[in-house]
Amino acid sequence: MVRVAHISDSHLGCSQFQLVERKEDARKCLEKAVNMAMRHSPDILVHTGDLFDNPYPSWDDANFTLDLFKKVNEKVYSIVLQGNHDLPYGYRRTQSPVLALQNAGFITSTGSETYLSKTEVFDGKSVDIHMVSWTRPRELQGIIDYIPLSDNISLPFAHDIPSPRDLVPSHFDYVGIGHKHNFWLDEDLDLGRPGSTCIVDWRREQGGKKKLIIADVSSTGNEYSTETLNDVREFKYLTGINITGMGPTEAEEIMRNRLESLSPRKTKPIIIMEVDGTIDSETENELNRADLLRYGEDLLKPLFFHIEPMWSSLGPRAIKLTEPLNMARSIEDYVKQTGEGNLIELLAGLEKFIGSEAE
Amino acid sequence: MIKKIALKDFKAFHNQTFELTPGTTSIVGPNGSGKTSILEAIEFALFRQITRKEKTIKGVEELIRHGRKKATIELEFVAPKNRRLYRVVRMINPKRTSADLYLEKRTEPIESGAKRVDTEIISLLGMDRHAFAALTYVRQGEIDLLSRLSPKDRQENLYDMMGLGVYSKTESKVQKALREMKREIESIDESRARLTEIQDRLPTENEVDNAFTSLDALRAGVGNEDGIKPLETLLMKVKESVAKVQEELASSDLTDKKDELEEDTNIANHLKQLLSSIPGVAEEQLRPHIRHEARAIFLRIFGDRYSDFMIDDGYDVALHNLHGNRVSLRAASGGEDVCVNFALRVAVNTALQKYSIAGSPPGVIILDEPGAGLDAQRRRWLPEAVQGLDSVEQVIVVTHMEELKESADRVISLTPQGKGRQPLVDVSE
Repeated sequence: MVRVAHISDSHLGCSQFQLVERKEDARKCLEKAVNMAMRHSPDILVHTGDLFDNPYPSWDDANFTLDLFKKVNEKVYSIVLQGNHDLPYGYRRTQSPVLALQNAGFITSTGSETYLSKTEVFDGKSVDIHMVSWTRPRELQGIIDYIPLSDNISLPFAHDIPSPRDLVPSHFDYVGIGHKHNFWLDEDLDLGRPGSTCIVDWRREQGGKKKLIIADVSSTGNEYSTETLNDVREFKYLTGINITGMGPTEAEEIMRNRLESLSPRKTKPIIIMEVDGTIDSETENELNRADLLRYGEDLLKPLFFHIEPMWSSLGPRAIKLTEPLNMARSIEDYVKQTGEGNLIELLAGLEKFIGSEAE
Repeated sequence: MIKKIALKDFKAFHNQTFELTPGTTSIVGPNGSGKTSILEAIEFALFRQITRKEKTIKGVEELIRHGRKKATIELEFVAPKNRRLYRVVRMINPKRTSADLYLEKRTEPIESGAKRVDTEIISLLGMDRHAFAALTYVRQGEIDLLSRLSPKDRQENLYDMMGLGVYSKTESKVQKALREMKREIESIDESRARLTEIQDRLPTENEVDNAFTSLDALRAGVGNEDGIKPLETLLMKVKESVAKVQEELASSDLTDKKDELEEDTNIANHLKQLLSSIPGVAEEQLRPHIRHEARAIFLRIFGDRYSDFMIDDGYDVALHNLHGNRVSLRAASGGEDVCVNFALRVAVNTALQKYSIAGSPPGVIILDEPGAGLDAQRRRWLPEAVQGLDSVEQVIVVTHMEELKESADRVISLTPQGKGRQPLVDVSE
């Protein structure tokens, strides 16, 4: 039996909402995932690409990965693939930052090639490891078709296989992929994708899960166990807020109430509020998002609070103006038809604030 | 509708009368021949103001012919309100103007005095200066401008051309007033805080009274009046200051005025919100009419080549050829492109005349150099387009283009006679 611990897409250096704190969070998330994997004492630790968010990582990130993989080097056979984020200008493997780790001898990667195959012995069994870094779909297909059948345990790992159900032959023992940030495991086809270690793009990852996949691979059949990987930062999504047909005060009230009902467990969470519905353009113009943000920040002391406007605007209200170019008349029509405000006061105010026409 | 303009010592004109009839009138002349002066005379006669490139002329004496003491403008117009003929006579003297308004051929004025005549004319026309300008004028270069702008800028410019720009101008005035009120409230708060601080440091009235009582007791005990006198003066002073501070804190400047200002701020905020919402509503209301008018105008000119002309909500234009296929505006010729914008621009005026006022429309459209910035090829359809504007009673075209002569029912040609001399006027039917 060979035990494979599978993680992916740590995106070190990504700073969501341009928050510097998230860079530190990404490192902590990767460390947490590696520690979690090591507790299962695997034979192989595989990271299926996108170790860095940017092919030119900061010194902090580069040193961190060196330290991390050095620490586990003795205990496990580590594999790191090169994802699309690890490669400058798409395919320049010679400049990939993952090469530094490989040259230091802490991990195995595909080097400056797209594909590398190795045969290692674990637990008295020969295991063929096929590594495919990020590449074009056609080349990827060629590589997968080229992998010969063998009696050994065969483990292909690729950064991305666009539609693995159709592309991958069924004779492999476990196929590990990455690239997409949500967890997916098909135990019948022996296909696994752990998802990213931290939250990179909340819009796409909302509702999905991230898990560590532990696969016990043997020629008679695999056994899987998974463990949920939560982001070290607490994310609070406020969804289902509908402000259809509301005025600005009412809509703000509802948003405030939702904020007040929230009780974060950790300090400095990231709060994302999605607001949908259909409102008229006057409400849209008068919604004071700046004040709401300030209110939320004072109330919950988050690291970041974001209101996502998903509402649509109906345009101006249906009001019939008899003389659109006559200001006083239009104000009269408006006030009469909406029933808001005191007309006499407003007209007196108009005269008072504007003064006479003659300059 | 304008019937007659008579100018005496107004700018270059020594003594000149222009008779205008229904239908199209072209005022043709080279640069500096006094074409724009005629337009300015019309505007001044009606509203006592002249807008020149959105800038008001400061002194009226600029309008008087050089070397003369006063100028006179006489304008006969049919009031849209009651279809009766009115005659307004304005005299311009340096620094002041006078005006009389006559009904038909009567010799006694029905209204005298500049201000009173202004108000009367506004009520006769049923609109103020801004509205009149938006309804009747197509200013120089506006058509060319529309054809050069991106759709988004075009929409903004059309807002102004529809006369809705006055709302945003007023809004900024209200905003200014709001800012001033805020500052005033702040200064009231500040002086209040200062007075309260002083009051805190001064003794209370009770304490002062107690001090007086003990002073009396002291006086009875010691009996030495001279030693006690300075203490008494000091205490009196303290008492005065305490009373003064209290009085100032309770004064209406600090209490009532603040309430008043806060109330005004609320009104101003509401007003500002209304002023920002109304243009959108008005535009929404006028858009279908503008669309309809523009389509009619365009198809009258190019109906033999295109079957449909559509304007979407962002004022982007789509043309359809006779087979019903969509033609990109880029594929259309330059002349057609300008014509599209001519139709759009004039449609704004005709739509406003028909649908934006409660009373009857003024029935005049004034086109100031419609072909400005266009070469002969790109403006060859223009005479036909001007001729086709039959939905308004009177069209006045001011231009230096000779070819527009043929399209007009009546041509007034101006020939300049040199600096300071009145241009030669020739009228042909």
